[in-house]
Amino acid sequence: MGLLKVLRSLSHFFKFDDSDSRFELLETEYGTPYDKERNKRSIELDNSVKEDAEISAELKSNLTLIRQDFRADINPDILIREFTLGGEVDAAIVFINGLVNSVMLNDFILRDGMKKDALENASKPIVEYALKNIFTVSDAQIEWNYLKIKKAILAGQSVLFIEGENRALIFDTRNQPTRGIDAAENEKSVLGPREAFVENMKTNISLIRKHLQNDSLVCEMRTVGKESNIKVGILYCEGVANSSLVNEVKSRLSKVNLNKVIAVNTLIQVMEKNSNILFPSALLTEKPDRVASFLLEGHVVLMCEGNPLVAVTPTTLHMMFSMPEDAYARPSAASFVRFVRISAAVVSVYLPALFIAVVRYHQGFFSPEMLNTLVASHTMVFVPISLELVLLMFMFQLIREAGMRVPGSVGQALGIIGGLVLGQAAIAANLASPVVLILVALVGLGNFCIPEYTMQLTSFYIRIAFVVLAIMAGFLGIVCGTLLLVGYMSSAKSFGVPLLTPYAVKAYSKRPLIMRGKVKNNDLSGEDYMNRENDW
Amino acid sequence: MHLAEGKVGQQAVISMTCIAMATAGLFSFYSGELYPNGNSTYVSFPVGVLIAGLVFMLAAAAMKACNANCFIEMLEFSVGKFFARIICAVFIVYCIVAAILPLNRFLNIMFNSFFINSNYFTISVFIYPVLVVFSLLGLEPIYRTARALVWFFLLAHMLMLGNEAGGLEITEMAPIMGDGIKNTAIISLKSSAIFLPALLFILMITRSVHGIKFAKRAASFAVPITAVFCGITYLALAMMFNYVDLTNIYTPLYRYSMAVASESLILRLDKIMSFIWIMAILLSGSYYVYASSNIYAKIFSQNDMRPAAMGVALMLLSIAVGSHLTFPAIKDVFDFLRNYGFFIFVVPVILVSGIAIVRASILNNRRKYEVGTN
Repeated sequence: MGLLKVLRSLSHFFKFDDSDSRFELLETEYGTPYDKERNKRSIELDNSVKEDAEISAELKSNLTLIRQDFRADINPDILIREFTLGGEVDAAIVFINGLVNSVMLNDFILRDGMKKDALENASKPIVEYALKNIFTVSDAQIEWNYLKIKKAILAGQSVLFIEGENRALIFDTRNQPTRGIDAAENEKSVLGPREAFVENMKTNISLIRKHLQNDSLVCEMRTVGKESNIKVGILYCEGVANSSLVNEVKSRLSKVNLNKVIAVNTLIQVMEKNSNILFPSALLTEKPDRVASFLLEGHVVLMCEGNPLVAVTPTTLHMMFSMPEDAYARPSAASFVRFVRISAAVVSVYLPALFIAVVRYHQGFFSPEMLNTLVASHTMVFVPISLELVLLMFMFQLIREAGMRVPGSVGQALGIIGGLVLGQAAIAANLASPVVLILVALVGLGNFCIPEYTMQLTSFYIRIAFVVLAIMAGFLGIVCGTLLLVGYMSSAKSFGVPLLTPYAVKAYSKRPLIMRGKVKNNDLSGEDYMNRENDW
Repeated sequence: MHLAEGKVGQQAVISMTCIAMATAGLFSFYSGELYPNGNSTYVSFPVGVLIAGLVFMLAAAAMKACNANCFIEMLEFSVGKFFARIICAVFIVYCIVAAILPLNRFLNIMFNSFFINSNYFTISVFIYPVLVVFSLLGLEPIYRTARALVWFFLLAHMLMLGNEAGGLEITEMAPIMGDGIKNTAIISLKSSAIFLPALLFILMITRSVHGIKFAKRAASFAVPITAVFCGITYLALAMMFNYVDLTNIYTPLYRYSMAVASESLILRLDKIMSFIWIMAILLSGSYYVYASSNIYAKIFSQNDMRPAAMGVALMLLSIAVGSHLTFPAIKDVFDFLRNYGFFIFVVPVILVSGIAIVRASILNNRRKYEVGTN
């Protein structure tokens, strides 16, 4: 059975046509996948409201329009509360749950509006009478323009529609979540917003809506996990995210059959086509501003109730080496930092293996002076140099894990003391040579430059694999390993998008990859590999 | 592994084709054959690439004329199923030749320069998984890997050539075109057979490269790029060593990079460059393994090409190792195939393409005539 399982997973690994994957970045010569429904959807998207559109006097038609535009059928945070104004006229208040101050809404709008004698001696138009005599909200105004009303709802204001009135009342009931929410711990930012997601999904959605005040943002809810019944949110921008991608994510989510789903990380692992993949198929982030930016680029976001991380799909290697900071810094600074980050990652993966290869097989690479220094530093060490390096790398990982598991300041102290004391002691006890210690420290620093935690772990496995290959066959091993790694990365896909996009797949990305490029005015283009609907 | 290979973009096709052609062009010929009376390789190899490009264009035109979706369909239309299979078998043989000659050279460099205490078999143990895994991963990963690494290969190579630009002397080229027109033409024709398989395979996978039009466009980029690349490399060699010295050097490029090492700031560039070439050779080897197993699976209507890929890779390495260890005669066979490749492989492709064009035009005329008379 075990052998069969291994054979099955091997055959799965080598399966290179994911025929059941609906969203595929097909490398057509025109940049977008052939889609039969493309024209149909474009027509649907063009059916938008004109700028000077007025609201109707009929409450029902206004509410239908709102329901339609905000996709209230699948968007549970769009709330429409119908009631009878003064016990006489039908009215409804529309707002986004989580963005409004519910105390203000209940006490100064709904309670005042539902009083039986509210419309006694009322004169027409009721909307003006209500503004002057009924509602005790300080910031309120009358509006007839439908687009302005929509924007107000998106901004967290409450809008009251009254039957027979072609104007609505807008109340400023905004109560957006602000700092009080913690700063991001893993994705520290100097220049950009610092707030991070929390364990409450409603708050998280509000945080995204704060950054993305757009009616195209859809948040669909699902319940996953037989035992845990965890609420999962699927967020995407309708008309922007490729509908094939959205359907693919929904279809994979519907196939999830787990007893318990604790976190979005678990969910993503189950949703992956090939869970043996070395690289994560979704980017985990805790920053709302970053998620808003990804949503506008056409990505689909998954979030779980009780989890402060959200998963962005599909993801690419380039995304995993990017930081929100890159977007906020000046182009030259951002490019330089990104270059340093990528170089550091490459160094951290290759340096130990190259060192072993040179020391064991290709001493000719070094100049005599360098070789002498190395030999002199290793003379008293009784462990073979390969073993010494592996031991020190293990020790580094040990200190790191220990530092992460103990509380903040103690963890920092542990790291410093562990590093200094153990390193010094290892040299004094002739267990390690200074050159190797410096090398391991450099590798550790390089590893910390990788922004994604999962990628840091992945780079650790790859590093060890390269070290083993270097011990076995020197540079030949490294070359073979590199080719296999690049081949593997070329074959890996995240929700149909190749991992190496847009480096090693035809993509019309106008932006330079390592060099960030200028932020251009009127540049509405997104990443072309996402095949956004509004690019067509 | 199914034959539905997926889709690849033009940049990836150009990158892979260039890498495969360049490695075959730079590492397939022995110095003793190339420089008997003088050196004109900087002309003959680019011309060889252009000849291969012209043959490709002819084959593509023939495919278009007979409305074939794949090279095999054109062969069958032109000369029937039996002869089509024979030509495909020759195609497979030349894919293996183009893969094995650089691999052979690489095994020798590895054994003689880096792992002297090792043996050919041990070295091949590391190569086999790469060839097999790549060919099993399929078309998309091979092409995308090429796309990812092509700039790295190109920059490293150009850096190596450029680093010694100050030491190049035009006097070393004397006698200019000393090999004579006849020898130059012979080397051009010989090399065209080595360049052709990489190009012709694009016509085998026209669906994956978005049709004949885009296949032709990819080739029209790949051919001049490879011609210029080979021309510049051979020109640099000609300006570094005179033809008498070159005759006695086993791998001139390796010696060129060693000449750089003594004065360069970049420490021992020769050794670094060898490993970069090895990467390129392994990648193009995987490409040829994939190509030959793909053609095999297509002519024998097999849906799964995994067994073929594993077999071809094993055979490739066995031949490469065997020719060094126990059967030196194998080398003679491959030398023969390389030297007479123009007549064994290129000429049949030209003839078959010609027949296909003529036959298609006759059929078209007949059809027009029939429509006219009806």
